[in-house]
Amino acid sequence: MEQAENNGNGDEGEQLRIGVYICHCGLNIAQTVDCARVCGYAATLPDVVVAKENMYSCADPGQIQIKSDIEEFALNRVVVAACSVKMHGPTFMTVCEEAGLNPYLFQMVNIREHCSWVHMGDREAATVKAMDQVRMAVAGVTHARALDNRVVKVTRRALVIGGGVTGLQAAVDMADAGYDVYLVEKTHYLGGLSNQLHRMFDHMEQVSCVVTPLIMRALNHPRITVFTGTEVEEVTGYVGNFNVRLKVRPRLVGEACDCCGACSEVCPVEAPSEFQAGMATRKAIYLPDSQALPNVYCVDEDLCNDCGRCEDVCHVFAIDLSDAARIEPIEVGTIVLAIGAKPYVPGEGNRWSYDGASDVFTSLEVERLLSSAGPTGGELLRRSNGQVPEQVAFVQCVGSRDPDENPWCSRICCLNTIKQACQVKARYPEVKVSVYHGDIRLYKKEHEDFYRLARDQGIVFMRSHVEEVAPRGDRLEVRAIDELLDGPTAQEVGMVVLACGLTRTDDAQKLQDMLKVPSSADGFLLEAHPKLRPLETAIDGVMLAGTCQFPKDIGDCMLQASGAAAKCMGMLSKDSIELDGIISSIEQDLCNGCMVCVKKCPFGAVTTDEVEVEGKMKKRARVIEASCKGCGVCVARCKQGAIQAHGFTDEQIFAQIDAALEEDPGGRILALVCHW
Amino acid sequence: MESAKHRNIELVTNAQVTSVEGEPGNFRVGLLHQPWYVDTDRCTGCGACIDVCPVSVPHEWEMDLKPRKAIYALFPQAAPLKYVIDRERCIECGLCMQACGLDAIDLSQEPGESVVETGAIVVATGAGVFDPSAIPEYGYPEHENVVTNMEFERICNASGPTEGELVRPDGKAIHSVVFVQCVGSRDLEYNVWCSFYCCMASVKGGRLVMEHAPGADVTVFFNDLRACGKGFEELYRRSIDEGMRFIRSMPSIRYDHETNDPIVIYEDPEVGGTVEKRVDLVVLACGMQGSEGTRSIRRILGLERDTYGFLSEEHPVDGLAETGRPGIYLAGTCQGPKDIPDSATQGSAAAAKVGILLSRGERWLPR
Repeated sequence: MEQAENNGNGDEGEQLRIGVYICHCGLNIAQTVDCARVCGYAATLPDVVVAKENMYSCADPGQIQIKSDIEEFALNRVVVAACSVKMHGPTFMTVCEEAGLNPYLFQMVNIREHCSWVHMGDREAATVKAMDQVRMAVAGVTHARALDNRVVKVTRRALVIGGGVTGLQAAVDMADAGYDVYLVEKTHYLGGLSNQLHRMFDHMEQVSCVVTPLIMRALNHPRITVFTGTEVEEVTGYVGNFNVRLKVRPRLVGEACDCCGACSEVCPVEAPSEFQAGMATRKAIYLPDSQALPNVYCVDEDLCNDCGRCEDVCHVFAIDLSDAARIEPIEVGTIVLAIGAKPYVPGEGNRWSYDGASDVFTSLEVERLLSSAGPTGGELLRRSNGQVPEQVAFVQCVGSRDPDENPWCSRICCLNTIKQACQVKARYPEVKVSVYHGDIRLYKKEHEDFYRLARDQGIVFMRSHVEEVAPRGDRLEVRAIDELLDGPTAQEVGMVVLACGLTRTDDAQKLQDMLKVPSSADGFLLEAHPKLRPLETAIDGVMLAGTCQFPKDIGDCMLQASGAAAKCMGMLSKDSIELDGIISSIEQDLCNGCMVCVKKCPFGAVTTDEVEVEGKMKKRARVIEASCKGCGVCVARCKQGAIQAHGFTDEQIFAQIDAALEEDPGGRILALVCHW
Repeated sequence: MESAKHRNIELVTNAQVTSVEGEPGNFRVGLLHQPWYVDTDRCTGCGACIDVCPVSVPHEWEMDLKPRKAIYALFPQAAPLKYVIDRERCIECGLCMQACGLDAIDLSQEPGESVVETGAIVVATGAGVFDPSAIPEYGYPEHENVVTNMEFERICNASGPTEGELVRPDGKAIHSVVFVQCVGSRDLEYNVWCSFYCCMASVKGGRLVMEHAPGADVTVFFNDLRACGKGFEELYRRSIDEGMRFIRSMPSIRYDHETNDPIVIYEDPEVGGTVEKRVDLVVLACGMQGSEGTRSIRRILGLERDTYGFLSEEHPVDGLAETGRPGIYLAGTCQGPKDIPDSATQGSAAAAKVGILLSRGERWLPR
């Protein structure tokens, strides 16, 4: 490989002067890695003029040390061996900058997550590995070049994906703060899953008392443009400048609709009502609920047979079955993902005998039964005989905390069961209610009182593992292993309620692919940092809120929504934002116009120029600097070697590979992984 | 670090709010600045002063498990990293003045007052922790090897009293630990509420013990293991798989005065009957409760409290970051016990509400 010129701050022929700092991170690193040995070793590496240890490099004394060394030793390269570059890279880049050194002449090497934390108990091997890592970093930083940050303009508008309670709250907050917001909802109605819920636990307030005013605020807000029946088709661009194509499905019923319902009466097509959790039917032209907002009927395009009878009977001529879907392009600066979650439904052959026809119900079905707008007008009736059961058994953790099904705990089901059990008790004091549970999991200050109240009302909580629910005559037998009695129990009841948790929505994948947002092992969308950045995703400018991140109650959804709104507002408050200098660039003289990079760029960041080559106009690729995320896909794909990723040039990477394999190459495994 | 460096944030530490007047959009907040006795513009946090200070007193940050000097900074990563003199303990020997190369020590400083004008206020004054000495059965603090979860945090911390060595207060290495959950929590005699954070804090603590001392014996005594957050159940399961024991039972504690070992007595559902277990350390998982600081700020701001002693939110569902008083917002454990992500989320939510209020140059009031 050709030896690149060593440049400090971009000046040709400058003598390299490298400073290396080994962080103890308290004992996080020092407990496993012999930092003094690593430091002593670092001092022997070529061009290293100073190597020091710090208790906490990130704390003020550590930072001051680096700054004063840059001055005293005229350092033109800095290596910090500490934690993740995601965590403290910016800290040390700022230190370099404040000391007058271009921040890209700094390299961070992670000897905590990548070394001490994974090699606990093997001090010798960990220390050798840390030395390898430092040697690699020194080799890499030798070839670092000074780079400039990019400044990009910000489109001061936001997109909220999901019109449930979370999306509504996020949209209203941003709009109230003076920003224009597009609110996109897949169905024709706002409110999401919360529409199907009757009361909220703890204070027993009706859900609609919170959600309906919120929907009205969103619909009436001059700064919010609501798109219902709409899905996101395509997202290109980057933080501050997302170009989004929305596909707006026609409602086929105009705003003139006065909800007289004549159309529904004549419609010959019938289907299960999603709103009533399948326990009632609706027509192909329908309003899911009298309170549904916007309060306008809609047509289920997939079911409609175009018979036209509804058009004939509509006295306000609101129906137009010929309306077609349209594409709406919008430009926004930030995006909030509030796509919600999907209630778990036990599959075929489940051990609770749930089939949607027996007297075994899911929690969502019972929510509809208990609602005055539900299929039974608020009566808790058995499917089999239409009677109120004498005894109801709630079964917790259905599909949850189960390694074979959903290993996570859905957080809300215990409270939801306590709420539903209290509602049953309040309406039918004579009905016996028992709850089969593992741990009762509550998490807010007032929850424990609520639980106590439930027990005081005579609801029996049994710490049991339910093995099977089976029909027995016209009743159901719940067979369980009781933890307290340490033995099997069996009880016959008229109704069983399965407390089902939440799972990721079916729409998540499409949006994840478009936005490059990762999910965690449980399928829920992954936050940028579980503790400190719970509202952001790994993608700049894309926030997340509500149950798409993890199951949570309505209050926490609204809180997260406001928090995500604050994160957006922070970005939208400025005309421009600064992005890092780690991007690709293409040497057009080497490009042969194959266009592979254009096709493979996941961010649409490569375009083409018409360039005159030997008298002919030819296509040559060019990177759109503001769009480039520096991922390097184009670099790897380019067979001409025409593309370089700044900050990760071939020289830098090859130098690190050579350094890694300098000693005992047979005894080492070298992995090329992401910039994390 | 981020807030200390932020251009738009002015950190005012070592100060108290003494009065609040005005209305949303135009509050005038009276501040009392306590003297540092150190010129914070000159102090670079070099620490030369602490080396020479002859006064040694218990360090409250380290839960009194370690001494500090009369001149000190709370912890190594404190922001701002400036030293302060505890005048009640200072003997005015002047050694720090001689040692300070920057001439930063100034014992003549007096408390000062100032008024700041602000449109909105966020209360994030945190919570206190239950004091287990109220429950004599646990033998705290008489038994030195029975510690609170906060003390245990310090024992595990690299910059803590043992510099991260897992040794108990009497110096013996720790190989077996018992965590007792719900100490003073979910208890009609003490605090009726559940503090939620303690279950996962003990799971984390147990894992730290197992990492520090491979093969260590870790047992958690609990009522309900409330692992109901993202990834929590998975971590709980993994801990069981890796050998941590969870026993649904509430133990009592005896003490072997010869060896200083606590002996935990409990009903073992697996063995069936009472079991005595000798361990190196018992950690009491103490929950959160309203703090004195929050109580005093509540009176100054005229806010309401709930029946538990935390600050009342405006509405438990759609007003969790707001107080009953417009322009004053809430975040974190002063409103109720919660963990770090929930606190950070509520902090951002409060920021959104403030952003909305401040986004308009004026406010319309009803006539």
